[in-house]
Amino acid sequence: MQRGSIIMAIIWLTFALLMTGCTDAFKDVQLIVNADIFKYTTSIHVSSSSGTSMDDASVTLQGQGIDRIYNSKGFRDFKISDGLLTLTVDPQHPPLENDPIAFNVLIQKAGFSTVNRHVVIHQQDSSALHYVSMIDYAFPPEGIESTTHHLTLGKGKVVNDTTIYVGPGTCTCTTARATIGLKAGTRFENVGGHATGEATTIQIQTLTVDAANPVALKYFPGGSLTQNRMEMVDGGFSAGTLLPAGLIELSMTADEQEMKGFTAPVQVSIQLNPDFVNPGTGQQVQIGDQLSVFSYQTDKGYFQYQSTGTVFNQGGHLALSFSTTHLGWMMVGDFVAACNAATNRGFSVKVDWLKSGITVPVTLKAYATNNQGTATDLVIATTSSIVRNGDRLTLWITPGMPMIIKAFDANGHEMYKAKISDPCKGLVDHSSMAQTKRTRKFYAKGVHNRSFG
Amino acid sequence: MSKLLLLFMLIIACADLATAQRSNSFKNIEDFHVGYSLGVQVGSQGFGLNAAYAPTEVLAFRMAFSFAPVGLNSTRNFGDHDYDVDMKAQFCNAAALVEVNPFRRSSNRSFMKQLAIVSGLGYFFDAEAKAIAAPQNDYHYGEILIPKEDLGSVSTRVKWKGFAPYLGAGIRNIFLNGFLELNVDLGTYYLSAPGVSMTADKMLSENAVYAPRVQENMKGYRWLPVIQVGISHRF
Repeated sequence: MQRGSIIMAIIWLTFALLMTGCTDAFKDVQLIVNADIFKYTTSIHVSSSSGTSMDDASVTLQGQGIDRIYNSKGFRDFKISDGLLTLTVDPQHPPLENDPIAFNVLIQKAGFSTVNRHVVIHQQDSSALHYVSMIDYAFPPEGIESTTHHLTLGKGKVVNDTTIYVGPGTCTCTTARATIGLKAGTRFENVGGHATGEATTIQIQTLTVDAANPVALKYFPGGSLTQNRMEMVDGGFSAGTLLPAGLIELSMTADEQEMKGFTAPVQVSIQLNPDFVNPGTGQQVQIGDQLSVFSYQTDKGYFQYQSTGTVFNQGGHLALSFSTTHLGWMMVGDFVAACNAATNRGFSVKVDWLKSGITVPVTLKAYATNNQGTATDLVIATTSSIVRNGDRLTLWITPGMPMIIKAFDANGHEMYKAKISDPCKGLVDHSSMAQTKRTRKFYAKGVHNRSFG
Repeated sequence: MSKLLLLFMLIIACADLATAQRSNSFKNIEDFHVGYSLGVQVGSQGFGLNAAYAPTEVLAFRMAFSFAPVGLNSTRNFGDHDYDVDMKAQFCNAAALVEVNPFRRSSNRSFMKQLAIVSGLGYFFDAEAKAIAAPQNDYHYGEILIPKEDLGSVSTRVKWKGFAPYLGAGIRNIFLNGFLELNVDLGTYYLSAPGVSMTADKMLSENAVYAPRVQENMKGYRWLPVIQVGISHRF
């Protein structure tokens, strides 16, 4: 064999093998592409006071923004699965800075209080968490008492002037937590506004809430004492924080139909929390104080101003009486307007030990204060999200009252605390570092809204 | 790597056979190992030029320059979606090498006489790989249809830079004719740790945050194998 031929064979063989080898030159190059394009996910954790699964509850979405909302698989079939309702936003129509997506989520199940949760998805809210708790009428939570009364009707009408005493327990005494006064001849209106025909009995279901019990207030209508819209006395809507001194829910059914109201005003009285501090006076509530009455109808999904009443002595307890023509939640107390709508509070989360792309659930809670602002009182606002290092948690509605902010991890460990004396003004002081038990640091830098630059 | 080793063994075998058949009509082998040479090479480093000076038959200094553009299109699957991945790499380097022929005088085998240990330092002017991934098809999520044009793409750029040591072995002086010889090299550069940057647009825009993770995954991707053949002309 000639040397030249061998050498040429070497050259060509080398070239050929090099070319075939290069077809997979990048096989070890590791690429990462997260193909998930659903940037906005809202998860609603649904539970009940008795621990009963809510997976068979019906879910209805209402509002203008629902045409952009789908379930996690891209369908408009909304069901709770393992206690979780997951909603996603159409990636082609995400929320914009001046165009958040707003809608209501109505969750219903027989034997449980209906929940209507208003949801707003802002441009910054990529992964929002909401917690919904539904009251099991048969097994209400701590601080809430459920009672059922049956009233005999004559051809669908109240026969005689009747006062129904609600609790405590089976007490029908004048020291009842609530009383309902029905005039003779009063009829009851169903959902369609039609009066009861020939119903012979009406079932009256009440929930009386200990307004000083934070466990009971987890079930506050709308999910938070701070509401993003309430109908005020002038018919306009405002955001703010409700401060309850007394709270009950009235619901009625006749002939298996849900009732919504009455043909004549019904007089209701509610026993008040004696430790309630009247914002108007700065003192504990007392006889003669003026407090407001707000009602919440689940199908509307917002509180509306009813009337103003005077606190009086009812069998040795402070109470307030008012008239109403509709059923639903009734709250006696006061209202503090939120800061200007542009004044939302953003907290930039910095979690140094989080690697790039890794997320962690964080809950931010705003507490009312007592003891001259040094101690926490009721939770007045909450926001939860799944965040990455550098993301921002925002209180979109800032309560217009002194508050203490705390942040918690998924296990409930407190990771951050700050006192805000005047949330409607100026920048929040930068927070201090909070060391957790695992020596991992979390700190949130509170910043004012973008309007301050 | 096993393919490269197999290739190198095959080349050594062929080279050994070739040099064993060299005619005795040529000058003494020692006369061909001293002096200057210019050459070209082709291989995993692409195409290049080199110049060498051998002051003695056991020592040589070589300067080499190489340029290698590589391109590849493939399909990869991310999250149950097929993506077209267009990958390109470009390496351009210069190297200063020292070659030692430890068996030039001690071995009787021609092959061992021609075995050189090569080491040195290279400088990479350009060492970069870039991959652009774009969805192959529209996305279907339940009732939602998203055209692939609206999805965007993800671009990953990996860069190495600076100096890199080299170590390898070579076969020298596989004579083709009077002044032309064939050289074969097998070795590796040890590059600096790569830096990774990512950009993404449209609905895939959030993928840019994964650059640190890709960089972490690729921190061991530093060995750049070299296998090449070249032809030199001795002066």
